[in-house]
Amino acid sequence: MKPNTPHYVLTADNSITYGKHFYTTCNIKETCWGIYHCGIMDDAVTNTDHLNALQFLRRIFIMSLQEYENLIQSSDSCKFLLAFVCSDLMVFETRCSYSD
Amino acid sequence: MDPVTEQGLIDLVSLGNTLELSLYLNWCYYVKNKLSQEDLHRFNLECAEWRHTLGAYKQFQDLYCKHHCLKIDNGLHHPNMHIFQPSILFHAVSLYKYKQRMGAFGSNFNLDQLKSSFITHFQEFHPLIVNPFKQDINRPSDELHYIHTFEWPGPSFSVVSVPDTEDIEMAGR
Repeated sequence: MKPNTPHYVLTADNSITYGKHFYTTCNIKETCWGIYHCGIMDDAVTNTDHLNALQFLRRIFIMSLQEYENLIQSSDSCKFLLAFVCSDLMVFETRCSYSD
Repeated sequence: MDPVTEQGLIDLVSLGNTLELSLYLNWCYYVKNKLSQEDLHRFNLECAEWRHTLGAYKQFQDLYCKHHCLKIDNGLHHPNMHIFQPSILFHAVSLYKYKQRMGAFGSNFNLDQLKSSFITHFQEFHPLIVNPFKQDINRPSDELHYIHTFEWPGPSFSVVSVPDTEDIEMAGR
């Protein structure tokens, strides 16, 4: 499911749901707007705090900036491409409890 | 996010703007004096990272403007005037209008606090867009084409290296 996609979880009984969130650079705009929705609507659009979310995004961002800097310094486009592929996906986990 | 392509640059700028404005969407920012020790410690770490990221973003923009420019309709344009400054203005006005539309739905901070924090931020880091921001937030949402889309609302462009020759004048430089 792409970021910024409205969704909810239904379970027949009290359940513990284990999930993961993925940050991909190809969907980064939707991620950004998802952050805006959470910021403006407070907790109404999410069921848990993702305390490390911005930290992960900062890492992706800083890595991208550093790679651009390296590109300028070295003009080595092959290294540039490889580094972006490596930084393309970062994962963090959440555990959400659902109960009556 | 390869910033030497149109989409890569737009993605990178979107993320940069989001991280830049994210501090003002954090409820802790508005109640700094009332935070518990634990929350205050976490918020201070958040602020330190935010400042570091903002500094890196600014360095990137300076470096980018030295080495690349935007080609729009066969004209060369300065990235700062045609994407960096407008894009953060678009994001900030969109957030303001969104908050205005939602009224008191989110109660962690109010519209005036958001407006004040944006203006203070722009006065320090983007003085050129203080007045455009004040003007745009007073315009009806229908007149602001950019708040209705997730896509880059500006003209299509391609990224080109800054020519070595000095005889090409770039608009806005």
